[in-house]
Amino acid sequence: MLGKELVGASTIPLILTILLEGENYGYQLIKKVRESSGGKLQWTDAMLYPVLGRMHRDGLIKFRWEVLENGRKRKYYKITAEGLKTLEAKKEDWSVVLQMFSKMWGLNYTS
Amino acid sequence: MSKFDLEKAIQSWRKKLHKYQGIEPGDVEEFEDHLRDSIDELLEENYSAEEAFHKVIDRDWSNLREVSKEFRRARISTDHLSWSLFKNFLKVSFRSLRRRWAYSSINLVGLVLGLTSVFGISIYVANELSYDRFHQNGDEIHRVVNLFKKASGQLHYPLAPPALAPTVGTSLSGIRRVTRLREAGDVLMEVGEHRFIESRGFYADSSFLQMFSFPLASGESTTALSEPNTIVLTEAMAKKYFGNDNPIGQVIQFHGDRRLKVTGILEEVPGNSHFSFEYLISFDSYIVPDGYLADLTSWGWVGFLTYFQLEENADVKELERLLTDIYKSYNTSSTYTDIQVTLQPLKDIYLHSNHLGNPDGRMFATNSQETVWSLAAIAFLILFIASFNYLNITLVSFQTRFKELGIRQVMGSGRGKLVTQLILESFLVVYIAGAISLVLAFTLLKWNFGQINVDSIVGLKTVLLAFGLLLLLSVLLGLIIGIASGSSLIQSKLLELLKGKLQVKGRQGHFKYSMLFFQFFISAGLIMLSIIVGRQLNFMSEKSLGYEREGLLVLEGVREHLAENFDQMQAMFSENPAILSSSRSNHVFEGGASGNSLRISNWPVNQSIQTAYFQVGYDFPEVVGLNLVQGRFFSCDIAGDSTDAVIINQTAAKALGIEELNRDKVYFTRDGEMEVIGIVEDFHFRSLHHQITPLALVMPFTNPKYMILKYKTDDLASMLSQIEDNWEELNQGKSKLEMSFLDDVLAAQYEKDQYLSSIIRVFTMLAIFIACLGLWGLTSIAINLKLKQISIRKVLGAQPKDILLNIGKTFLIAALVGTLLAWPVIRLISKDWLENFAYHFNPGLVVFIQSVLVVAIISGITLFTQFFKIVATNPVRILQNDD
Repeated sequence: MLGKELVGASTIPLILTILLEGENYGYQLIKKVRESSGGKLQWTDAMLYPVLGRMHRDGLIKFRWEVLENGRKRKYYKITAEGLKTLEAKKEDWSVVLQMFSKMWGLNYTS
Repeated sequence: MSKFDLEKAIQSWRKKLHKYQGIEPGDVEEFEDHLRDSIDELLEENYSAEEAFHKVIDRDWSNLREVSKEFRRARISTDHLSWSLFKNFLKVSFRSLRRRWAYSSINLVGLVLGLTSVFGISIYVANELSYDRFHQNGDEIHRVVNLFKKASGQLHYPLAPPALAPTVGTSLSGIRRVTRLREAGDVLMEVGEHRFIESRGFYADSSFLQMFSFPLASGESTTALSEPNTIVLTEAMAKKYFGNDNPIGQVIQFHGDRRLKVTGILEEVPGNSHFSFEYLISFDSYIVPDGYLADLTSWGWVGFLTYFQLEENADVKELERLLTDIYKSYNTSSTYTDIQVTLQPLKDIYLHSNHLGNPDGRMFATNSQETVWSLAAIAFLILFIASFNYLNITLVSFQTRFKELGIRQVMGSGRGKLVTQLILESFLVVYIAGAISLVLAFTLLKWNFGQINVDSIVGLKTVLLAFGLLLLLSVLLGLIIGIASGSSLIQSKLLELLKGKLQVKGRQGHFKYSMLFFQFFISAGLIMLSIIVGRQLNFMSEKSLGYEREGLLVLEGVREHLAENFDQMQAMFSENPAILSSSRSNHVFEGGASGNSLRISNWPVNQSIQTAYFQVGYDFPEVVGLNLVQGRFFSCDIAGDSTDAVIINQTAAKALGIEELNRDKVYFTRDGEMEVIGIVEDFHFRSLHHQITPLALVMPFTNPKYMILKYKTDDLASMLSQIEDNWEELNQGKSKLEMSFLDDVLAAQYEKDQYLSSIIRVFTMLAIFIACLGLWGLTSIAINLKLKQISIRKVLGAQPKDILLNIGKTFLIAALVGTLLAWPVIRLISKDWLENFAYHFNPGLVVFIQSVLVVAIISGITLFTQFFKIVATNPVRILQNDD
């Protein structure tokens, strides 16, 4: 399991990356994160929502409501231009960290 | 054990969610969707519904308190910025403005008037400050101003002797260019058959067009004025003379026998220049008129505007010292005890030249910075009054808004939100008022003050500045209201607010009354000011000037033509029964006077006194009605009078120490002794701005510009047309004669004062109007709030007037205190203005009483209109309606 700080720092770029593939909703977002980390990165489900709220406030994502066939309402999120810009910036930050550790620890990750 | 109902469990979970602050309805929907997905997944793994529900709740939703806290944190900073909230504020604001439309419009009208004054005056001030700023070398150009000292006082004069410029040239280090100007006066110009009298032009050195930025549309700036007998014209004048022909190279007949070649056409001369002109003649064309006491090599003839363009880092003080030395070394026969040359920066000329003896000329514009800034101050005072209105009415009307605000507070609006709401409302009002005012100010200025080129001043910067001012004003008003009302709102008990029982007293009460007091203070002050200005103007028009101001006609014409025809004109006039007598003069109390020095023959030169002098014809003193104290006037029967006789005024006699006339000989010019033949009673030969100084009357030694006639007739029109016919007959259409009545000539000297007076009157009326609006609004609210009380009193038999008196008491006290305190302040301010008149009235108790009466009448009328409201109130209906 990853530490709290690292989870906190990676959450927003992770969500943005997932939304890059297309709009999505909360439950699926969490599932995707869990799957892609092999279960090593896990959020308490409820804590995702305040983060989404904050991202919406900052204009990184927008949302729309959709009514499903069974009458349930679902909130779909979508990345904005501002979100794309932020993701590009975060990508650079992370790749700097990644390259640094690769070099120092002699690992061989290619990105 | 009852069967587990998943739907019920989810519903009750939802209910629990609602309790957390920060979790909003939308969030609950979203959480439910998530919860159901998670449960569905577990159901597929064969968990029972009950197991699945509890597992998911425990695993994923156990920390709801944390989550809600996070939500609050994520949202809190954005709450009052978000668009939807803003829209809500806006909606509420509009609604409340509309509901209280009467008060809103009072606020709006007041603010519009106040802001229009501020914008209008700001544009005017900007125009005044823009004078002479368009010259590229503006920072380097300085005008020579000489300080002449004498035993009898000192004199600043913005003119220099003609020899200064060519002698100094650019020989001193620090000087880049020098140029001279000499006013050309009225000149006759002819092109073919067409004759024109032109009065707005200068003789100018060739460097003039290089020093100042008056670009030529055609012609070469560097050489246009370098040859003798060349002239540069404005486009308008070229069009007038030559139509659509190319004016360059054309010849203008000048003063009859001289020819001027057109060498350049000027682009339009900007209005905001301290001198203006329609043509420039090369300085080398200037010929000193016959009879003048000096020539162009003179160091004693102070009659030429001289400008120096300095090097960038020139030491101005050092140059002034060097120039003074040069001046003194040449001007050896000076009658002054000391001379100092000073250099006045170009950009100071327009607003800082009031201390100068102004050169006689209509081509020089000056204004006093005191006037400009006082007008600006008055405009802001009006804005103050309007703002006070706004604050007062808004604050007082809160008493009627308590219910709304109380409910908002119960609904969870924090103090911040309420204050935001109030600020936003003031934003709305101020900006609506601001937009209207901007349009109004521009239109009014364009329409009314043609001389101000609004478009050239009003740029993006001005508009931004205006918006800055509006922003400042709205935030200020909003904050004051927020603080003044917000604090009492928060501290007050909600329940009582809701019941409408709480009366806001104490701090807000004081606030309200101090505002009211300020309004009366400013209004009363402005009323006093306009009374004082009006009375001073009245004083001047009624003051005895020492000569007749009525029944005199002034004829002005080209000097040479007047001289040629003078004797014949006089002969014709003597046959005209309407004309009692006539004479001529080079001044007619129009504000100008020539200057010279005067001393008793055996006095040393440096004891000479400075004297003004008029060159006048034989009967001048009789025609204008001067009073002789001793001796006699000029007489055509005594041979020497036309050259050797001088009449002086009492002030001059005193300065020369002459008590009894005893054939005293004086030196008036440097080369001739004259006899003092008469002493006249002092008269105001210049405007009442000036003290009476020594004056000498001598017979003409140059050609006077004016004839002056004493008339008495019931048929002015035919007299004027007869004079015109006489002139045509004699002068054969060579030039026109201008006729004006002496009292109009005199009034022209007070044009600026009249202008100031009318502006102050307009502002005073504005201020009074806005203050009355405010007063009306306040009483109206007060009466509305007290309707119940009033009704009970009415039922108990009180008369409407008692009730009104009761309410009006506060206002009357504020009015009285405001007026009382305004009096000393206004006396102090007006003292300054009055002192710029050498002769002025002293504002006494009468002015104060007049102002008190005006204030009392105006506020009385305002209150009285409310009287009917009280009379019309039906007490039964009001009392019935007890909620």
